[in-house]
Amino acid sequence: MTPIERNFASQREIASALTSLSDADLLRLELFAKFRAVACPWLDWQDLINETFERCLSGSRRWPSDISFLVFLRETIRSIASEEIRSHAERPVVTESDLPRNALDEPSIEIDQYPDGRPGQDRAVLATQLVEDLLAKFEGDEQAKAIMEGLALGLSPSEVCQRAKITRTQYASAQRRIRRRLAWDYKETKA
Amino acid sequence: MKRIVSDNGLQRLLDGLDEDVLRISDAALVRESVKGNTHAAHLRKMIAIAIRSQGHSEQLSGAISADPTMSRKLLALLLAPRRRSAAARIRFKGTDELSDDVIEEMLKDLLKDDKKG
Repeated sequence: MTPIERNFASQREIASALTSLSDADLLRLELFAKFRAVACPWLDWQDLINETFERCLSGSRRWPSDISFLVFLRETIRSIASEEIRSHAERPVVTESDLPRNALDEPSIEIDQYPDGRPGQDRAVLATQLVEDLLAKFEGDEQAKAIMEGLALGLSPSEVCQRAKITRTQYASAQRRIRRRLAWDYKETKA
Repeated sequence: MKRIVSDNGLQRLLDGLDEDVLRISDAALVRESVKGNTHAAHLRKMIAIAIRSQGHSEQLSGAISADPTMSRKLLALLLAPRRRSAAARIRFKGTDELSDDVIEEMLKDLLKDDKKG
C-alpha cells in the first residue's frame, strides 16, 4: 500500500492563518477550549489555547493543508486535553501514611515526588465522574441533559430529537443554554 | 437516567458539543456571545503574543546553542513542554505581557540560581 503523501503548512503559514481567523472562528476556538477545560477542571482554558498556539507555531504540531485550519486547531486542543486527562488519571496518589517519617517535614514536596509503584487511577472512573459532573450542571433542564446524554452516546442531532421527543427548535434552544452554561458563563478563576 | 460510563462517552460528548459549534452560523454565534467582540479581541492579543513569543523562543534557542554554558534549567523552563506551560501561564496571565526588561531580569535570576546550584 502506498503511503498517503500530505502537504503540511509552514510555520509562517500557520502564523498567517492564526492572524486571519474571523471573529466567529475565534469564538469557536474559545468554545472548543472551554468545553475541553470543563473536562479538565484543574486546567484553565487559556492554558489549552496557549499550548495549542505554541505547538502549532513551534512546529511540534503540523497542519496538513487539506484540513480546515479551524478543525486542525480543534483537534490540537482535543489532543492536548486528552493527554492532560490521561496523565491526570494515571498520576500516582500517595497518602501521608505511605510516606517515611522524615518526609512528613515537607509533605507538599514529597507527595509530588515520592514514587508509587502501584498502577495509576482508572481513567474510566475519572471520565465517568466528569460526565456526571457535567450532567449535574443541568439538573432540572431535561432537554439539555437529553442532548448531552445523546451526544455521549454518539447520537446525531436528529436521533437526539427523536429519542428525547423534542423539536429541532427546542434542540437549538437547549444547545444555546448548554453553551451559555459551559462556556459563556465560564468562571475565569479556578480553585 | 442511564449512567454513562467510559472515557469514550466523555469524548463523544465533548466532540458532539464541538460539532454543534462548527454547525452554528457565524452570525448566530457572534450574536449569542454577549461580549463577542471583547472575547475575539482578547484571543487576537493572545495570538499576537504567542507569535512574538515564538520569535523569542527561537532566539533563545539559538543563544543556548551558541553558548554551551547556558543553563539547562533555563532551557527546560522556556522550551520543555511541561515547563513551558507554566512559563506560558506567567506570560499570558490576564492580557498582560512581560516587558523585555522583566524577561532579562528573569534570565539573570535563573543563571544566578544555576551558578549557585
